[in-house]
Amino acid sequence: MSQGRDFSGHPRRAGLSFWDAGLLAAAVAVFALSGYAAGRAQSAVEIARSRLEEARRDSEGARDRLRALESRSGREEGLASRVLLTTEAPPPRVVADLAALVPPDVRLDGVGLAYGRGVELELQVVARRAQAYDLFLKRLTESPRISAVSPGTENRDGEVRASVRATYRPPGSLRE
Amino acid sequence: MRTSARVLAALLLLGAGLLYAGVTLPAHRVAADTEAAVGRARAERPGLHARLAAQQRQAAAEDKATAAVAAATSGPGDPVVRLRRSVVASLEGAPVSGARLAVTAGRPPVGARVQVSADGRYAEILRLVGHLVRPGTGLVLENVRLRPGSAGLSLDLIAFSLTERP
Repeated sequence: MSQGRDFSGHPRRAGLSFWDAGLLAAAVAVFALSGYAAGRAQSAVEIARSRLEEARRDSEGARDRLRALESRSGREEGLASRVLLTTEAPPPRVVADLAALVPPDVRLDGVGLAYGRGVELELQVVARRAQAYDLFLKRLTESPRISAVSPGTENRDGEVRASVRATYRPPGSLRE
Repeated sequence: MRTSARVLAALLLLGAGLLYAGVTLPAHRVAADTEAAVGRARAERPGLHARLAAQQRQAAAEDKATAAVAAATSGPGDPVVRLRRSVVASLEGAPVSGARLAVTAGRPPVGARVQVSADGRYAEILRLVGHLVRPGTGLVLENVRLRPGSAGLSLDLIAFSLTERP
């Protein structure tokens, strides 16, 4: 701080120079800008957190509703599902869909249908040739109506006799 | 005065730097991480909602079918007698042989359970099964077994009726 004297003889306070005033003004501006940026960044964090909270609440709500629906079918031991499957997958329809997959050298010697949360099939298969049985298995696994194909024991000595387990999915089935 | 102005300016600039490094930059990082988490949460949302919608449609379809079945089989009188009457009516006139029938009482919501066996030609047996579970009979399938029989195809069927909605 520099001091001078005026005509009265009192010491006179010297004002800020142009550069010092400019420097101070720029520093104030930078500080203010930095404060503003910090405020903006904090509010961006708050907004992002509230969006995250909303997204998590939404997902959690959907999961809760899903659990409730799944536990409902568990409590009923699949009764409601059996009712619906009896309507959507009556045996004549299941047998017709299976018959469409059977190659010429293959016949179904027995068909078991167990109605629960799905229609569980147990097929007794007789094939004149092993290749025909393999083709039948291929068609089963590729069919949109059939899932969870599980070949059981098979005798491939000449005529093939085998059992196959699978799940039938009726057309328009909603549940995976 | 000039020195203190410069010191003040330096302090302000230092403060601005500290504010940026200590608050703004970490906040930007936190905001970016949080936005990424929002993105992940939103990405799983369509799959979750699709599963939920499928379950809800399934539950609604099951409710509708169950209400129809319960309405068809509930009512006054013994559920065993009602179920037996319904199955006998389906068997009457069906060109099958060796028909056997056993009806037992069920535990609510199951009204009664029936076991049906019959032999017949392939088409006749399938027609009989379709007739037994046609809409309006209120019969719900549990197990069906089809195997070669003396007359072509042999049927063993277990089904039940409902007295109320499960």
